[in-house]
Amino acid sequence: MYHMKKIIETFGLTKHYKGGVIGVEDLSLEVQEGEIYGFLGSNGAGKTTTIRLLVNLLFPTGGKAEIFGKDVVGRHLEICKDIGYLPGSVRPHKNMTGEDFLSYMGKLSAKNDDQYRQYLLKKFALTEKDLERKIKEYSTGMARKIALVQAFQHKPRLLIMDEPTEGLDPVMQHIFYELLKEYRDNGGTVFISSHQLREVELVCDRAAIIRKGRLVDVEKIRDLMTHTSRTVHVSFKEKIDPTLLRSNAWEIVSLDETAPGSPRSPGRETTPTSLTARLTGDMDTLIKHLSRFPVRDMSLLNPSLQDIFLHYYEEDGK
Amino acid sequence: MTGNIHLRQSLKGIWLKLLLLFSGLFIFEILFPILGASAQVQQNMLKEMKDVPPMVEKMFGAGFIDALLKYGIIALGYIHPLVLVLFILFIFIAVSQIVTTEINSGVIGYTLSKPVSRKRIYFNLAMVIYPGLALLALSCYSSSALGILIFHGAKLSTGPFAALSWNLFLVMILIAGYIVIFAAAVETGKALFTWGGIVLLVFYIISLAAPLWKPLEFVTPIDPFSYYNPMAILVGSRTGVVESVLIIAVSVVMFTVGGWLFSRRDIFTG
Repeated sequence: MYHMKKIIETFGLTKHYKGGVIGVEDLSLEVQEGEIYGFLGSNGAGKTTTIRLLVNLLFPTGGKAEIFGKDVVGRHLEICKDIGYLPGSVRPHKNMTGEDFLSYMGKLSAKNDDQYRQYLLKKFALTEKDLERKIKEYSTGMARKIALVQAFQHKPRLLIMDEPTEGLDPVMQHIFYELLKEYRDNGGTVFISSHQLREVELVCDRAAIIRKGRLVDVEKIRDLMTHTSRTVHVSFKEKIDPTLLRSNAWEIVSLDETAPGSPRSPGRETTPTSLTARLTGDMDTLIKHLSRFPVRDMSLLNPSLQDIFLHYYEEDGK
Repeated sequence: MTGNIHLRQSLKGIWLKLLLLFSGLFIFEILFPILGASAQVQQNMLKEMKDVPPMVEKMFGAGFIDALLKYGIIALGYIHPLVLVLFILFIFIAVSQIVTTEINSGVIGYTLSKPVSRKRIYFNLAMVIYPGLALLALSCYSSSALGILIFHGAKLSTGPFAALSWNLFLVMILIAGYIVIFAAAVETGKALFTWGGIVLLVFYIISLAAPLWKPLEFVTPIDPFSYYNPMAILVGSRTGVVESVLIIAVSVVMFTVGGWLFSRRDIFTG
């Protein structure tokens, strides 16, 4: 994948607002053809600013960005022919019907594929009756679905989406993820911003983390998960002296010394001692360390992106 | 091609309002020849004319008294503020519909993510405003001419009303130039109406006050209302070819400046 064509590339992209407020600072990233690239950050981190710079709604105060190898400022019109854009939580033209809006957007794109549009409408469970209604009468989720259809309908080479599942119910979110993967498998590229970490975990191939306008890290999702410490939960058959449990292999987060029949767990069978720890060393050291104790059960939890996210933010905070 | 689609969409949102304003102006302007046909109204008016202070003639321009004596109440149809207000309302509606409302609501993000340039949006705005104002001017002329032909027959000429409508059109395209420059900078339709409205009101007051107070005269070259001379035109004066070409050129320059500013501004809503 990494020898593939670069679809998006930014070179020290910078946007400062009035009063010296930093939108993004010296942002350099690459999005390869055929990948779903997640852009993670908390509110105000610079995700939307980056996206608006890419679609030329904002102008950079430094650096530059290229899409399909073309400068986004100078050759915006050429680029636009091949991108699908979904703004963050902006309701489409309220006074149009859903049908009129899709048709208008399709004509502006100068590419129409009615069959694909019908397929998308079916996927998002949008009926003819829904399309006849004005968008101002739509619920938030419905309006979002129509906006998603307009982004996909002309089969662009690149999708740029700002928090796309905002307002969608879980079923529709799942359908959307399926569509994204299908689009990617057909050669499309996606740049998606989100603060829904599970979403990025589910659909993205790589993710960038942005904080206060600066890029913190870019990694494959799998690498991102392994770089962050995992959580280990161990329960023992008998009570263990906590001091013996100490090891370089882990950092104990919590100990539970619940005794059999104790008031804290009446009726429970034996769970003399259990603990939750963060894996800090390698697995081999941990297993050797644990072999000294009568282990009842052990589970290893992969970090959620939430953990990864906090990990990067904590690191930065230090 | 995509630009034409955007223009068609813009026209869809505006044509009904334009039609309403066209009809409103037509009805309003035809009322004056109808009233002028009433001998009593004319007589009362001429009686009042004796008491018109010279200051009023200064305010409303040379020829004010003569125009009233010649055309009676019909002449008032073109200095009535409502006429100017209806024209200006159309400018605000067009600019608001095509530019500021889209920015305000954020839907401009959808439009600009398609192969439609910002310059094209401004060009489309000009394509709506110029013909729209021409139609409104035509409404004024046709209404006055029809009223005169029906109610005054051969007694009055309709020629001066054509010159007057042309003058009105030129002044309005100058005003539109100011409004589009504002539209390129503001975020919301509300701000456009507020600031645009205040500036036009100030210009209007200056156009009335400058003939009475010399120190204000330096503002008149940039005051669009100072080029509006309905009374002088009714008594024979004309907007010359050179002046017309100059006004059109200035308006085009203002549109271009507006488009230039708009194509370089940040849009935070899309």
